[in-house]
Amino acid sequence: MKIRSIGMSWFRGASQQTTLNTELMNVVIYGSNGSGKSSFSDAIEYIVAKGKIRHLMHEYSGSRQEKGVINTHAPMDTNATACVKFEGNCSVDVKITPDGTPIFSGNPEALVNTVQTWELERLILRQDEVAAFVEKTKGGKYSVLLPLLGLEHLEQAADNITKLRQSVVEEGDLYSKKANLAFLKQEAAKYFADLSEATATKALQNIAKDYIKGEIPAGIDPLTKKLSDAINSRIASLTPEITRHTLLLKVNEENLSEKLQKVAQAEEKILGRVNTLVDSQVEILQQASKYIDKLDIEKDEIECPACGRILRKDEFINHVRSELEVLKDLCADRDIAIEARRVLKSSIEKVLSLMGDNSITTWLGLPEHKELKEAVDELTQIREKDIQSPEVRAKLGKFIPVLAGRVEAAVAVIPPSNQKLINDGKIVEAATSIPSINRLENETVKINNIVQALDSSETQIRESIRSKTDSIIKSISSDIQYLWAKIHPNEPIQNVKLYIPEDEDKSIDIGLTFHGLEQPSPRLTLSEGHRNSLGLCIFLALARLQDSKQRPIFLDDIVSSLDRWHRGNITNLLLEEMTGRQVLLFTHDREWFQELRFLLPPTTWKFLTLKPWTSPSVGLQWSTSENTFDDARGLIAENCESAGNCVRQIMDSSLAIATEKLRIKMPYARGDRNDHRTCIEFLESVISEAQGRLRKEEAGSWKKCPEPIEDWRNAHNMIVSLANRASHTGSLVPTEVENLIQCCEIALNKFKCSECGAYIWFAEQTGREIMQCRCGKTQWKYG
Amino acid sequence: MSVDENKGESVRDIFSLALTKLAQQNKQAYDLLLQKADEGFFEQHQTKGTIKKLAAQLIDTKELSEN
Repeated sequence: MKIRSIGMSWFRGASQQTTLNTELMNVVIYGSNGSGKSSFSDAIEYIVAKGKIRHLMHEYSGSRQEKGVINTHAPMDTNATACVKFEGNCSVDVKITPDGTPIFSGNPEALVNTVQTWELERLILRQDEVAAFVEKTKGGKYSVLLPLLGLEHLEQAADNITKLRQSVVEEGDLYSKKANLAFLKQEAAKYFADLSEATATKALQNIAKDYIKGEIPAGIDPLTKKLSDAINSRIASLTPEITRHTLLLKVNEENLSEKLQKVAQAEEKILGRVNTLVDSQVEILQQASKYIDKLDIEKDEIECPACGRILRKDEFINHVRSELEVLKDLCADRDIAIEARRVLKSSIEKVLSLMGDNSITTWLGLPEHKELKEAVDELTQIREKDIQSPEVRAKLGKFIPVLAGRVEAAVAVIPPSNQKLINDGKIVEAATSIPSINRLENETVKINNIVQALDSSETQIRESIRSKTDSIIKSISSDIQYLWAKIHPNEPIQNVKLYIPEDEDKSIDIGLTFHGLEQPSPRLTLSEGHRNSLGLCIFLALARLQDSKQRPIFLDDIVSSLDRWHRGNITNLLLEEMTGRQVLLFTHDREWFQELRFLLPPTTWKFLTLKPWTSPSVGLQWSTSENTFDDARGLIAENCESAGNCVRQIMDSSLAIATEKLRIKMPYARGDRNDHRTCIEFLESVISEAQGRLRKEEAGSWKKCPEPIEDWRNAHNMIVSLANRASHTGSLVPTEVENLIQCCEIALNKFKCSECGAYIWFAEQTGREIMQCRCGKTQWKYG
Repeated sequence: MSVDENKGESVRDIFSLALTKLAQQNKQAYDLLLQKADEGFFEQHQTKGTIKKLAAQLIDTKELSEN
């Protein structure tokens, strides 16, 4: 699909309509820096990239790049335009409104979409992008190459699957569920080793006896709920219950019943007025004892002053002592009774004090403790009264057993300790988690299965990408190696190839052998020039991939960092390897342009020159000549010496190539040696050789051609006198330079046939050592 | 393997091989992924929202053992 023309108006450097007519040939466009030649590359890029130009993607060019795309001096309300015409009368147009909106149209309409599927990476190679691929990271290279390898859709799928996998993990809360599940399992396993519902239910039923009165639910869910409620309720009331139980234990320990009984027993022993009696008896007996001591020991019989009995003296003494002993026992019993009453009273005081605690009074308020409360109330009423009173004694005998019995029953129900409640709570909680564990287990397994399936899909897609990439980059690599060898023959940098680094997805790198040593990256050893030519090889190899072979390629200033020798090799490469492929080559290198102009066949290559760009309103201007003398003309107004030197440089490079093409015995040897030869030497040789070698057919016979020789001689003389002066003395005037340019321009044109306009070396008669122009009327015999 | 051949590679073909295990575990999820592959869902750029929606649909599926 060759380009017939690229036209534009008010687009980039163009003002009024400017058209690059290719005539479906390859084209070399020369223009000094800033002449606007890249505007043509920009036009094709703008159309292909749907209204964007990569090098204009910055904050200053406007949201639609309108500040960079439209000529700054475009008339108000004028649309900028660009149009690319292809072979077969097809075309794609774009009209850019002043606000930068591109409006595309095609003939046929579908052509716009077709052109916009072209990949810029194998359509245009610009000077500042030549080494960009080489210098990209492995990931960057991969990103650039992927669409060119036809694998972008798989990469997109792999990316989408990665995102989907992440989203499934996030939406399904997988990690949190897994952590929760692990925790629940760990906790539940402390109580139910097999984590089964049956084991948990059995354990719960055992616990339930302590908390649930009546029927115990059968299922694990209702059972755990009921148990959990019961335990929580118990925990909530835990402190008052324990306090109350402790106090009631103390009440119980007072053992009022026993104390009451002791009082009763003691009382029985000293019934009635025994106290008075005992006191009186004791006093009498004590007097009697004193009396005995004063008695006449000779009397044998004595009347007892206590009981009145007549006793013998010794019997009396024994009697008194015996009575005293009896009374002493009685006194002891009385004392025991007194002590028992005191103890009982004290105990009642203590019990009433304990029963007055809030934890008990609230509890006593419950209906089931009505009797106990009455007993306590009664005891409270009689606490100040004499226990010896029969009424009080009767009440004590009635209420103390009630109190003691109830308290004993109450303390028999021991409240659970905190620890037990906590332990039971944990068991219930662990049991509660058993159904949750099963649910969580199912959920995590399901999500995990989906995640693993997505992982597996992504892995297979990546493997597919990798194997396909590997296969295709091997094929590209062999082409890169081939092209590299063309530009760098017999150099110690070999085996240049693309490769996929091991165990790395989304990455491609360039390897090579440098002086026999394998290098993982060209950045380690290659110079800037070598990196640039490597970038060119990669671009050309990609451009030569199957599905882009029919498209044109734009090479915009790609040799600026290459020396003459490598530039020459690139010329050969374009000549030999790009046949059938339309190449649009832009260069600001005058010398290379001259070289190309002489070396590339005019049958397939066209040469155009842009005049130096002067202003936005003048825009791009084509030079009327194929050569580059307009550069020199552009310098006259500014500096005549520079213009003179420019002419000299043009002649140096042009004549070096012309002498080589004409096989004059001053061969153009590539390398630095050529740089030391001047156009003066070349012209002298040309003039000398042309005498016997150049001939022209006139009326059926071959004649010598003095006219070109005369023009070459004039040029020689002008260069010797004027160009040398420009180089050394610096005293040229404009008219002198104009004469010099004119003379040199004429001299170079004399290498072309005056009839057909083709160079003398256009064709060669094999075996006859003759070269000739297209029409064959001008010949050069070189043998 | 040419560039043109690569462009013909289908995500569905890869899915049908990669998801055989999922087909046995969770037929609903398997069918959903294949349906989306048929629609060309995976080959095109998708927003976070659409990805999230599909993830939620996948999570809502039931495994064969749950049915």
